[in-house]
Amino acid sequence: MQTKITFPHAGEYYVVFKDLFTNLGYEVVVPPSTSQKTLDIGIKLAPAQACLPFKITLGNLVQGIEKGANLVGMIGGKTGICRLAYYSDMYQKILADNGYPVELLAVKAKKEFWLSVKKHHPTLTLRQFMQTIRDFWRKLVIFELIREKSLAIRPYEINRGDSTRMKGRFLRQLEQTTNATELKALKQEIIQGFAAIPIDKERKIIKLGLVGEFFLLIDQFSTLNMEEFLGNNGVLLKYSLSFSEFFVGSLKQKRFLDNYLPTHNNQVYKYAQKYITRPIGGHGRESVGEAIVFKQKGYDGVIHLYPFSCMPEVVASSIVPRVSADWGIPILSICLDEHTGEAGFQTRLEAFTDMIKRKKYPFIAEDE
Amino acid sequence: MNQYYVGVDVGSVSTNIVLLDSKDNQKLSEALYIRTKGQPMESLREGFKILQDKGYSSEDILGVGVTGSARVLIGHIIGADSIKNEITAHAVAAINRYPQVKTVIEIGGQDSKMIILREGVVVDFAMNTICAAGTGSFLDQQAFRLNIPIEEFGEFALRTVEPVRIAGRCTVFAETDMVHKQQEGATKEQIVAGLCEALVRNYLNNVAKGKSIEEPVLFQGGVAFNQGIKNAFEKELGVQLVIPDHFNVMGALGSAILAKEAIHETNKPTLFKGFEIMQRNHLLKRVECRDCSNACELTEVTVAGEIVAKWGDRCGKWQK
Repeated sequence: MQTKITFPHAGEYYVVFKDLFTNLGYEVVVPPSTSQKTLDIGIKLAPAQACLPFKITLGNLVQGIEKGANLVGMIGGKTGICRLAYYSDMYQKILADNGYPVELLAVKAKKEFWLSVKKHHPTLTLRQFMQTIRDFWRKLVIFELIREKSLAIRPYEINRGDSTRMKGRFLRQLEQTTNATELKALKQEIIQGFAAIPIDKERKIIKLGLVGEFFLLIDQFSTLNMEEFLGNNGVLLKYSLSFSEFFVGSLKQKRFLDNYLPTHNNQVYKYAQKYITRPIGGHGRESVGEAIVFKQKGYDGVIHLYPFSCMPEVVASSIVPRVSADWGIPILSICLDEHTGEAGFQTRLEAFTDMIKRKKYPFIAEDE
Repeated sequence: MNQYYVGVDVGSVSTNIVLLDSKDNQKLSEALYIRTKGQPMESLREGFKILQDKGYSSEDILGVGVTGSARVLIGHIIGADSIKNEITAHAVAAINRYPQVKTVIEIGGQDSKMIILREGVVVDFAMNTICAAGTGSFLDQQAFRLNIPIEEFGEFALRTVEPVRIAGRCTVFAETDMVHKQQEGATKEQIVAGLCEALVRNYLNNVAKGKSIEEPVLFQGGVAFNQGIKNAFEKELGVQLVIPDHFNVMGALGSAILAKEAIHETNKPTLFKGFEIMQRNHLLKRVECRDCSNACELTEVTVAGEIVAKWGDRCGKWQK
């Protein structure tokens, strides 16, 4: 039987993952964009206590399977010390219980991934495999460049929506790009394209860092398009974690180095040390440390996002007020769940940005 | 000839409108408090009608600010110069009334907030999460159940020195507790006082969450009318609460000041469409934009077949 693979949408990252699986020889079924319907499926099938990312990704998978997929690509597999480690088993069981018996492919920076792919495609050589990974990596880096550029330009843009449209255009282009030469050309085009957007350099903007649970940092559906909402309100956003860093961070060698060399993560752990001395699963320790790193880099505030019932981030969220007081950085902790209303969410974000803006640019508050 | 800035706060329980004198930030020429009764448009129409009847003309309005849960809808319909969240509006109003304020406790119909200020700048804030147990709506309901007019609720609480203990964590449990205590022979007064204490405990646990409450503390929002709650807060915190003279329209006052700021900042004439706009019949419709794959859901407002406002788009092209 031909293996058709599907995988969670993970924001717009599907563009790169689609390519990875195609090049590994799979037929790819991209699930429809995450929508309310996706979430509804997830809510119906998942245990009530499961977190929002689980429900959304489960919904993605079901929608992919309904389109004909019989193999599921899962980031992480059975690793990690939060509930993520159970997710692959839970997907499999829940999907089977509901009449979708599928196989699972754990996508991670480990030998296990190569062995599973090899089982599906016996003719694939290690050389080809490594090349595919390299190509995937190149594309991932370009993807993240597009994302970063749009975040950096949006608060300054004169014509609202310019950077969003530009991002959409380049993502479609990236989807079509196959070889390294084209990719290089695209990179130049991206840099020039974003530089050509008319901007108002004088605008009074603020810089906010985003920390928290990984899926919420990459998926715009679960955060109700926060990226655009804040960008349009004059906020320059920076994520503490991207997919490439997620992968690199999962390498044993990298983790070993972080313990001894002054790498970024080493700094993060050092700052977090006073509050959390050891890994607590997910990115709980990182959330605390990254918030302080943002402060050191001169950011005006930090937004901490976490899904309801996420253990590591719940721990982090109870530490956050102390970090905020100790380091004098405003931190807004937001808990997201399936019932999060847009209005309440935006009220908090707006109040938070107003608070920082009025502090940073006090002359706005003056009357005459 | 006097000129004014209008502040409108359209909340779940009340719709408040103030007219702020353009020359004097301390002078409120009008302050209206109207029950929303689930119909924000209706209540605003009523409010504007009252202002017109009192002889205010749209030409004297220099700017309009809107806040409250229906702010986006109302803001687009009447043409607001500033559409801001309640926290900012309440903080601005509090600073206006008491420049030295350090803590603001605001309890409204559906939400409760705490704002921490230092030297006239907001440094921290908190809002209640999903639960409504610590808000005015809860008191409203219980008053109805006990058959006490909400206006007299606070007085009832003051008539006893021995409140009964009621679980304040959740509305449903509180109600169960109340029924139980009634059956055990507690008086209405004791129950009301117990409810006030429960609401205060709930607020301190769910909203304040250990934030340092420093004096002067301002208590605003519709619930500040309730003496029972004020006493319960003072007993629990050991500090004096100051209730500003316009405690129930502070949100509206704040948005009037924000409108003034916005007008000064942009140096443009007001976008206000006049008090008359509310006399016309507004038709609201949800439509889907098909111009790109985002498929944004738009809100469209039509008056006599003509589209007067459209918003909800991510790219901003309909909002001009």
